[in-house]
Amino acid sequence: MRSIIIKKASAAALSLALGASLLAGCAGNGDNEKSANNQTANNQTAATTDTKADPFGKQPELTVITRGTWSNPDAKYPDGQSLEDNAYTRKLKSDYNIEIQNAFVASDYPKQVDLAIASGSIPDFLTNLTYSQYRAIVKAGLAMDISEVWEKYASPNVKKVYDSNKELFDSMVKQDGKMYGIPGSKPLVDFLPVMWVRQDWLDKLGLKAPTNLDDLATVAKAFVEQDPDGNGKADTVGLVGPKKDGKLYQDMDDQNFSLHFDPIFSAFNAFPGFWTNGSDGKAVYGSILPETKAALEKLADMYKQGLISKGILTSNTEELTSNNKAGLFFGTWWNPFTEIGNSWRNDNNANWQAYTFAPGSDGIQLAKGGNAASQFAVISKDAKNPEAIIKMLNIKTESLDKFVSKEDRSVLSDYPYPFYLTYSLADGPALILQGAIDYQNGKGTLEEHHANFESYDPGANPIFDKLIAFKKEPYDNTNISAWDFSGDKANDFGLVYSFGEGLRPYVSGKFKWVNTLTYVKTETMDKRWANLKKLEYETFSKIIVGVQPIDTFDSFAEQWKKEGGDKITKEIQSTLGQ
Amino acid sequence: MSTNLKNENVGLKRRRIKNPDVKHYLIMLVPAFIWLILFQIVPMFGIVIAFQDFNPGAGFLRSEFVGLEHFQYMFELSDSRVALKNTVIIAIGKITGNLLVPLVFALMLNELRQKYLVKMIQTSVYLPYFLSWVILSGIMLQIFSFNGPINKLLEFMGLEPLLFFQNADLFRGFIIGSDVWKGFGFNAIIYLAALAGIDNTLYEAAVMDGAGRWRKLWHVTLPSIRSTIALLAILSLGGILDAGFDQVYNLYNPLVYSTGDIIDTFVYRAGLQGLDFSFGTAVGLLKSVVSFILITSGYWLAKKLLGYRIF
Amino acid sequence: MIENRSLGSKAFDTFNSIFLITLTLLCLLPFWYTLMIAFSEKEAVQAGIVSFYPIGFNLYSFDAILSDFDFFKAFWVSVQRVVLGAAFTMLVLSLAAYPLSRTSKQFPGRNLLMWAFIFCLLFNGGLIPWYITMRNYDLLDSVWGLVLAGGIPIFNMILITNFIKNLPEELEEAAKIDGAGPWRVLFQVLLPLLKPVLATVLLFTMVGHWNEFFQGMVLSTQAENYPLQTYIQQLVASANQANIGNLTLEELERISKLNNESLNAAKIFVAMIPVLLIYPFLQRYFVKGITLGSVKG
Repeated sequence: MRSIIIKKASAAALSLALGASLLAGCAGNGDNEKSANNQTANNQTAATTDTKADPFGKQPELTVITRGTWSNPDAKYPDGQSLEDNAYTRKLKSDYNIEIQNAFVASDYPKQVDLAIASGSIPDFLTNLTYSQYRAIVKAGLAMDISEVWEKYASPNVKKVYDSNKELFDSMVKQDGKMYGIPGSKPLVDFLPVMWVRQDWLDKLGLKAPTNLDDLATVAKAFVEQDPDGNGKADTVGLVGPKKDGKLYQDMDDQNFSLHFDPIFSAFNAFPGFWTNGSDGKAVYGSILPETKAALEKLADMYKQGLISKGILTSNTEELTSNNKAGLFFGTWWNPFTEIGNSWRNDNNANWQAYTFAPGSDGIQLAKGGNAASQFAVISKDAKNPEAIIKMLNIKTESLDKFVSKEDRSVLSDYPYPFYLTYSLADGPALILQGAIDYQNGKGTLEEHHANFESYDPGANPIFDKLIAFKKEPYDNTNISAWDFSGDKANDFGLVYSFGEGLRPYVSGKFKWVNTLTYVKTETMDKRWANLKKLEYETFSKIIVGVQPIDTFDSFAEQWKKEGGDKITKEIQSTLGQ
Repeated sequence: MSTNLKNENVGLKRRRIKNPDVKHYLIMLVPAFIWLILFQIVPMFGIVIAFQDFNPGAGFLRSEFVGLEHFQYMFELSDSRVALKNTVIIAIGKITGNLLVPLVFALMLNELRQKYLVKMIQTSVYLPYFLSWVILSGIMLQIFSFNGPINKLLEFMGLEPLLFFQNADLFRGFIIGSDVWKGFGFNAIIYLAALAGIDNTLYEAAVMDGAGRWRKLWHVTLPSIRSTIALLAILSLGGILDAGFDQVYNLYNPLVYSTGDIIDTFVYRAGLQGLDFSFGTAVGLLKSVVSFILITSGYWLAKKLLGYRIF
Repeated sequence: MIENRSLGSKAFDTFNSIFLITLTLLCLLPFWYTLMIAFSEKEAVQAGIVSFYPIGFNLYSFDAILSDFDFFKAFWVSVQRVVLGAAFTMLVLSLAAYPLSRTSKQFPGRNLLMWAFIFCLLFNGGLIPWYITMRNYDLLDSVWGLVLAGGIPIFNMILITNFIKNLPEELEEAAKIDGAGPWRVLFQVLLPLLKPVLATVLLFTMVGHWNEFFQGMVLSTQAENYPLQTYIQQLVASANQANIGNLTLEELERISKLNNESLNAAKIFVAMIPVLLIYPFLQRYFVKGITLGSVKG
């Protein structure tokens, strides 16, 4: 469900899905032009495939497609629109003859998907599946082999995104050369941990943004003890930790969320939850290595000293930030959409600044690389019109922003779009900030930048324009005082501050990805991984909050190996050809 | 041959004469049994998936049979052993608490002379029993949270705050305690009725012998309701594997799995969220079997020891 | 009564009264506290300074509920479920309990049927087969699914049969001598006498349906079909604050004045109201119903 949180961030990111791929046929603006282009596409392909294979062709007759989706109880729609009936669905019906029906709408989407799988019947398509759900669907024989329809109907640009990470994607969605699913493709900016700090608090206490673990402890301690908000009460906390049922760090399954401890683990060269190279050069699970133990010991020590907020993993710790009781946490670039936005609304002077946290001497942060394919879509083997589903992906990827009016677009977050799947190039969002910085430094004219974005995705331009319009001089000052969020501009705080501030650590380039050796799941993992992960999560959480001593780590490692870990490690090694 | 036939005729006739109502009884049972067949017996065939590697695409009929593999795995897995242990500890804690606390409460209430007060107290203490765990856990998560009033109170008294939902050592006690709190008023009803049924002359005789309050309690009251207590104890036997799904599901979190995860929540997580449908069903089935044996034993015990038929 | 009370006895009485009153408050205070949270200002709730009186008294939370369509939708689903569920269960149970209260001499096969009942209600195939069955009956997203899923609570049936068993035989025999068949015995003789136990079972059934959340969660494929308890469960489980950026300024201001905790508290409180209203009225019956239904009188 993280995807709900980032949906607005992705709204922008998605529109960049094309990257630099410029198909002559898709640069046009109006619908007339597009159908003309479709005509061209038809003519071009007519020689090799049958004439119906037009990635953007209107369905010859009304095609009803069923799907499962989630609902957000707080969602607000423009007047007269709803999840079932909105600008997107209307356009799909009128221009493409595709009608969408919701087989289920749940606020707990994963559970409803699990039930659908259990009962052996899924809607025509499902998006936003986890890898295990995807595997369960394929194993149950419920997924369609889409190799052919993909080949025929996926638009060149959609294929281009797939090909940009082909090896990874192939390893995950192909079996015996057959393709059973469509991997989501996430922009890498989502995975870089961002250290958010209240600069105004630092300034008040005469401190600097921390660059190593000792500084981090000093700042956290000062935030707890020296009343940074100046209200005369000892009600502020240090480093904010994971929220209720949250995770301690990103792993192969859960990524792109806030309030984790990854940068602290990385500081110890520990990469729990990832497959890394052991001393013998063979794959080994990061969570059972001594580096992880050392990081846990540090975290437990910090918790004991009160430097980490109490109530981690059991309460809504993000509210500490929202209510300006906290000034330090590890998050993501899109946090201004969530708690930082709330914090700012509660206190317009809250000066949140985004940093990398790089304790090493080189100033380079080691960051866990993300799984670009962490969500999946499948088409049911019983779907009558798989091509219509692929077309929805094409449309979404190439021309979603031409679909609906600007006004509607600003209100309709993108998830009601029927085929919701993040499908983006790696640097998507960061290119916009880079463009704005370049422009402010006198590189290129406004027209040139506009033309550049227009050439591959017009959706970037409104964001670019806002970044320019909201930023006051001096341009190299990124403090909140150097931004203009007065009046109506306040509505765009989340968008502008995420792009304008949250992406700075990424744009700075001072980080290095550390990738897991593989994301593939083996047979034993299907059976035991959930339990092993639970064991890991439980042990580590308890060590950090001090209910179990650090030595528990060793018995954990033993138990992990015994209960299937060893077997899984061998399987992983063999899939890696070791 | 002819005698046999005759005997049968006589038998039929006698039955018909003796029970002309049976036909009507059966008709009265028809709606209940239709329901039973449709909603209990039909799904019961699904138990086969506990012995299969259930493939939802293939269905019950075509999934591959794997025998007792899931049961074997269950015993190997430390999580299922932990869940079993937690279930039994929590259930025994609840059973004991739910027998003793209401008893003490009933005895104390019985001593109260102001009738209007008795009435008021009763109405109030029944209240939590009628509220769902969804509601109550919503309230408890608030009250017992790190910032909640209980911890404020502890802080005020100069004590360390207690992390009820974070500290596995506290969680089990919290579950038992909150369950007893929810039910003690209501569970006292039967005791109160039994107390009201004690023959007053027994007390009068005891007073004649110079017995004070405590001796009356010990020599008259408790012996008189002994069989009620024993009966309730035996009846609760069947619940030893029921630690309360609604309560635990709404209150627990991964930090307290080690002491709070019970069979029902484990089945739910492994079976549905873990997408291991067969395994979940196998664990659930084993629980059903054991519970049924326990309830049957309770039935026989009640009948043998107390001469009481539960149903 | 014996008036000759010692000092120790008086001290005990005082202690006893105080203790019991404290216990009573312990049962009521959580609900009072919830109400106070709902009435309080967001900042005060966040800071954890609200205890037993509201701080910054306001009605924003209750105001917000009034315009919350989803909440009322869920409330309405629950009301339908309670009414239909109670009607169904009462009908089936009153019919079934009478034959099952007969001795095996009066009704040969009674024991077998009773055990069949107990067995079938205790054994089940678990969540997945049950879900598939309900799905095949087309009972997903239907209030009838919720009504039928928990259709016959076995405890309630045992309660009624035991109550009938405890009634004096003579009444029934007298009616039979007058020529009454089983149907007349049931409806004209027994039902009026069963008032306490039927009221008790009615209360349990209604409260049971009102409080049930799990089936509501599993059997609803559309969030709009959630009964109230499921709705609240999802609310408490996933406090959702992601969407604030979407709102207009007025909405923002309103939201900033109330927070999830006080709004949730208000919703929780409203969800309690029906139960608070009904059980005191049925109280005088259920004491009798339970006592006679479960313990030999």
